[in-house]
Amino acid sequence: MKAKKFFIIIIVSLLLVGCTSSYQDVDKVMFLTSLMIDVDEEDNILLYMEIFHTYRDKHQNAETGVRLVFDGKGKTFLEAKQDLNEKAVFEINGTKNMAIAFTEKAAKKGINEYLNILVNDQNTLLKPYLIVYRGGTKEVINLETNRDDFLGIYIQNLFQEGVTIETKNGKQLYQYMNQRAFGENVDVIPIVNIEDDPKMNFEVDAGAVFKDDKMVSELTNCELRTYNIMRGKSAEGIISVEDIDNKGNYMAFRVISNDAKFSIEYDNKPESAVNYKVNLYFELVFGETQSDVNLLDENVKNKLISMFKEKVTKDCNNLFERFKKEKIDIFEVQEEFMREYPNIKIDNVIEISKLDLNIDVKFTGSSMTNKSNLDN
Amino acid sequence: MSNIQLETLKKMFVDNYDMMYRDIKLAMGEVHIVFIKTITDSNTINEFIIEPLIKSRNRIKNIEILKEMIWAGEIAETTEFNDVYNQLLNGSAIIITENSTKVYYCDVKNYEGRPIDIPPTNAVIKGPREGFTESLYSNISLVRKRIRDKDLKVERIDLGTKSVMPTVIIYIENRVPKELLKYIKIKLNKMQSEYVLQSNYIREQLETKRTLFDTIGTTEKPDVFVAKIVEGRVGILMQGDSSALTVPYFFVENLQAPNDYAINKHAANYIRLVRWIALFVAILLPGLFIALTTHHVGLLPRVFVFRLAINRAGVPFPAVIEFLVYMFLFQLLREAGVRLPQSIGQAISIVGALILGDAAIGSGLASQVTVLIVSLSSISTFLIPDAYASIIIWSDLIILASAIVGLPGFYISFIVFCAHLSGLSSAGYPYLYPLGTLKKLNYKDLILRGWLNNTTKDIKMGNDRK
Repeated sequence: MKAKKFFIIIIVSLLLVGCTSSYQDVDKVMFLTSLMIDVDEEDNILLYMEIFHTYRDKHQNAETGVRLVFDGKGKTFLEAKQDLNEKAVFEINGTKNMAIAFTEKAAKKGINEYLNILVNDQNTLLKPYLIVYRGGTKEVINLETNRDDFLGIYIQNLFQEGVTIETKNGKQLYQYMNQRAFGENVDVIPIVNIEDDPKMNFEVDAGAVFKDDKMVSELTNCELRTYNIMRGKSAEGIISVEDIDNKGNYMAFRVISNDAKFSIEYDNKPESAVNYKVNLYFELVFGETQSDVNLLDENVKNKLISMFKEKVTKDCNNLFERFKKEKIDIFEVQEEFMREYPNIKIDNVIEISKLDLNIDVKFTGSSMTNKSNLDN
Repeated sequence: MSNIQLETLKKMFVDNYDMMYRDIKLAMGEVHIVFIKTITDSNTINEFIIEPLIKSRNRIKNIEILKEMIWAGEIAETTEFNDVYNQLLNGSAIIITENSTKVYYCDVKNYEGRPIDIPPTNAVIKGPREGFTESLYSNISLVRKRIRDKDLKVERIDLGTKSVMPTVIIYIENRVPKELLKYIKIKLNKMQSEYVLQSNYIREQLETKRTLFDTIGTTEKPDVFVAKIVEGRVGILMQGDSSALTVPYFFVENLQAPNDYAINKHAANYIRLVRWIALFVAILLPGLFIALTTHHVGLLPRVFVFRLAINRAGVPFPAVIEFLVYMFLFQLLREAGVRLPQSIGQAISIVGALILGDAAIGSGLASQVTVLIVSLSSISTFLIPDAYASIIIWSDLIILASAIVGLPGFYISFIVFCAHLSGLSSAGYPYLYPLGTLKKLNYKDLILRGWLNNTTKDIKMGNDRK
């Protein structure tokens, strides 16, 4: 019995011997908070790592954490990483990385190589937000924001706690990797820019359209909002509409909740178009007006709804037509079509598709109290 | 004949200044009264034995009249010399008569002892406060005061081959499983110790496996003792020890407190849940913390990790060494606080908690988080005082395993801990009873306390022994 116990202990110890090397005190680690990937004119990969590092300040006799930025250069991603690692004192831990930023140049050249390494690296997680960064890398290295000391923390907060339609829909690495498997491998990643002010705040400027892991097009800020609405992503925020009776005056609607349902109809005839049906649902609260509005009047209410629908319809149709022309399937029409008609093989379905939009709007909130209720 | 016995006694107890020999000449012949004055009641001997004999010396012509004249309780007789000196040592007055092989004795014992007091352990806010003392009779009296049941049995078993120590086993006849009673009697009869100085001798005899956990219950409170007897357990009381034993004793009882039965049921249950949480905090928190912060920081929230890293910056030792050293320091402080008189003990606690902790952090030798976790774990152990030492040692083992292999080590050591507990038994009953034993049980006092009307019913353990 004792011999049996002894052998069990030996075998378990041998099986677990690999785990012993993973011991690492938390203060002896450098934590990666954001990663930026750029390419230079000679196609060298430039890697920037924003690091959180702690030490005990001899002057203040107190513990403190600082932001360090390491850079590395190489012909390949791993070579650049190795170059960077040579500058670090401790092992760089990637589990706290919150953002992966590609410069516009790197994004246009293609991010496939980086993604494969980042996904397969056991030292990183699939949680970081992906962004395309439009601006100079030096500004980021010398970053002094008035909100957070770290780009990674700022980006994470921007998308996690986002209050606008644009910032509510960040793209995390695992979401992008999932999306790669669907349709024509098209996805949209937010483009982040540095505001031109002394404190250099970041803002979501637009959306970068990726096809086969290469940035092929761009969505303006307004188009990015419309895209999110059409894809059924959270559109909570403000949508402004011009008052048709008072040109130049605007009304703002706050979207409380929204949803989108898609379906495909096709009769399998050569001359027929693929009918891409999108049913949008909005729950709105009236926010602001620059002209007088009587919200108790049903006719006015209906007019407001039709103005809102008109605005959304116009934006959606414009966006759909634009990408139909560019032959980029950002709406996953191909995927929807393959699911609906698995036996019909048509390449680039979006080219023969037409958008059939149906919008349902519900006004809510205290400003929408019925007149009959007030009379009582 | 009597002179031989007297001489033998004198030789046996030579150099004992408290041995008293009193010779009285009666009509029937000379009578020798022998007693130990430090353990007997002198007044009783003088008033009820010596005085009547002297006053009626001419009338006492035979042994029957002699027995009538002695008013001090019941007179017994023996011819065995072993009985003679055992009775003498147990506080009896020995009466040796001329020309008789029989020796007479009567109980006049009067041991010095403290009065019934509030026991320092198992403090209660409400409920009975009496505690056992070192007097066996007094303790039995406290039990009988609470159980007025004709089925209550108080069986005497003398322990110790050289120094006979009166011990009683107490049970309620129709409730106690016969197997259990038999087991305890066999174990006690097997004891070969020359001296049995305290109840822990018996406890060690009854324990079956080497473990840090108590598998035999101890209490200084008669109300707790009686509650267990009523449930169908066997209690053991011993002369000279205020700790009473109860058999069997289960793990869940470590998390019960006398106060639970004196306060509102729901409030008591909430406090019990707090104790259960404290158990897991005390055993698992340091190990889990070490595993997560040294092997699996990826599982922790970012802000927590960064804050922790800042806290630990500059600490010269690895986290596991820092933890073990700080836990050891805490043990030192606790032991110092317990051993010293209460007033100084409190001062030590303040010095330890405030000054040493602050100094350790200020000098950069320990991090604030370490102090916090160790303090949390240690304070949690105070909620389970009966299992204090075992929890601390198991906690250290789990820390070591977690430091070596991270979460696998943590899981494995916790499984080993559970396996160890489930492998224990108390007088033949599974120690984790009724947790995980899959046996029917009328035990209404598990994690939560039931209504008192139900908890006092017997737990019907007769068929559930291993």
